Amino acid sequence: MIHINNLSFGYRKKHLLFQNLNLSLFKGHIYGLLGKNGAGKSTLLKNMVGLAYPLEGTCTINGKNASKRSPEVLENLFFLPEEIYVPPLTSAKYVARTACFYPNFNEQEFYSYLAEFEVPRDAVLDKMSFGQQKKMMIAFALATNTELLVMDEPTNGLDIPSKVQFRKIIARALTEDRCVVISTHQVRDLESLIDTLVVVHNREIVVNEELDSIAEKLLFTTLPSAEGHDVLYAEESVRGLNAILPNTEGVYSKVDMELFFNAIINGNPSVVQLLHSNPLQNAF
Amino acid sequence: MAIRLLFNCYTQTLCKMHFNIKRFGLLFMKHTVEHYRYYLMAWGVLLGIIALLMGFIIYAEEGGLSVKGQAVIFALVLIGAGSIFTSTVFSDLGDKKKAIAALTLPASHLEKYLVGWLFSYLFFQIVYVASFYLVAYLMVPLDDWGDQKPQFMPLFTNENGQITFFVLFAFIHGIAFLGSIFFEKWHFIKTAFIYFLLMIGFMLLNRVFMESLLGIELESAVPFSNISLKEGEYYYSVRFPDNWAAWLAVVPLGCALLLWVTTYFRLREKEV
Repeated sequence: MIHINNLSFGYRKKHLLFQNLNLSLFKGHIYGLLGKNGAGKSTLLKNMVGLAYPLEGTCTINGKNASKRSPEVLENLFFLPEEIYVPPLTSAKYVARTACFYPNFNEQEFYSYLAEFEVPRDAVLDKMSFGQQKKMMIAFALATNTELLVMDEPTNGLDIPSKVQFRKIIARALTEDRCVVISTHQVRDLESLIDTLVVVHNREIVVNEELDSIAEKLLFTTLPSAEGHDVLYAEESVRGLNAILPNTEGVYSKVDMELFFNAIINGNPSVVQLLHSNPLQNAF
Repeated sequence: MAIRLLFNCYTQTLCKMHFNIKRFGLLFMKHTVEHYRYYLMAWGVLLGIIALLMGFIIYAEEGGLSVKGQAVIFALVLIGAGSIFTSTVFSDLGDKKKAIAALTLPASHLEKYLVGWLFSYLFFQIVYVASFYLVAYLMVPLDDWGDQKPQFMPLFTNENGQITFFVLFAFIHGIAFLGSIFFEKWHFIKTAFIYFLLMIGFMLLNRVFMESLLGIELESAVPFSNISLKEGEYYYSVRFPDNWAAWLAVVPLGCALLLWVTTYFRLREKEV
């Protein structure tokens, strides 16, 4: 679906945000893109959808150069930015004038998503609250049924019930023909939603792994103390020590994304090294 | 035969990719629906400006408003209002939120470009001419014409420079059009500032260039126009032959074409 090859990008040539970046994303997955503030998550997404041009390397969508922004590519991708623009129209008028550009748009789905989000149909979009506008745009984005759906901080501005609704709807909207990329710095918002984690740190992609694969190699647990355990990374909590350990015995644990993310950004190379190591190598 | 068929197929696909009449129609409608309030307000302002200028001259001057006077108002508002309006046509691309929505909309760059060009160049001139004559037909007869019949400025003649105004507008439009996509904010002010700066530089350089080319000191040297020089007690003016003067229009029209093409490539390269 998306292939990024040796991509280098920077707003100034001397100060590169990414250098020789390689990344492949495939259909049938919901990717969670994590990174610190300023790590370049939004910039990476913009490179993916052709809104920013790499200084070197390429980004292709189904084999076509994203930066050409050809209608053929655009009608199969929807990009929902963090800050959205809505025209002074009602949802119905917006759909009537915009949906026609997306060949797979499903109006029935759109109105059912709107109803689930409790967004009024007849309100003028630019008069609605930011949260309502965002929910309308999420509903529209999902109803386009594009193969690629890229969302930058989609949960920003949503209240707690809407975030829950968002997770449910996204999980339901994923099909084998669709690739969804969600960037966020609020890790908890992606829990029980994404199946693959992509982490941007220090100008490179340090992790691009399915959660199941992470759980196979790492054990996420709470310990009374670190003594007697091969702890890779740990954080104190009221219940004890939230820790990441090598998963030597093949025990399944739920990936604590926040802990995992903190381990990476706090410069803990052992977690990433173990993740990238060959499991057969560890066995001997 | 097979190669020709393949070539035809390729060019047809390429044309369809860059321009599809159905998609263009949809884009045109979307743009109109989303912007018609602004355009209607702008039209109201345009009518007001023409009426104000015309009314002021009718009030201040004795006798009927001459055709020459009408032509001056026509040129001033065409260039002034036209350049201000054009400088707003791609201003949405300076706003990140609007730019993302516009650039990721599934239509080609050519289609997006043409919608902006049609509204700011073609439609503006049609609406402007109609508005000018609407106001003129309402206001000019109110002037003090005595026994004379009120006179109106004819459009398709160059007697008072009407055709020249349209040629000049194409050039000014090209500048404002490029400025609307080049700058992120304060489009009109920035474009006008850069334009005057470049014109001053161009005029100074032109004089130096002409003097070095001819090896004499010149009194004046206007770019793409006359030069005047003094020899002894005599002043000489060197100018294009009168029957060739129409060819001078090629310069602003050529510049306009160049600026329009540059704007298109700027749109293609626009990043957010």
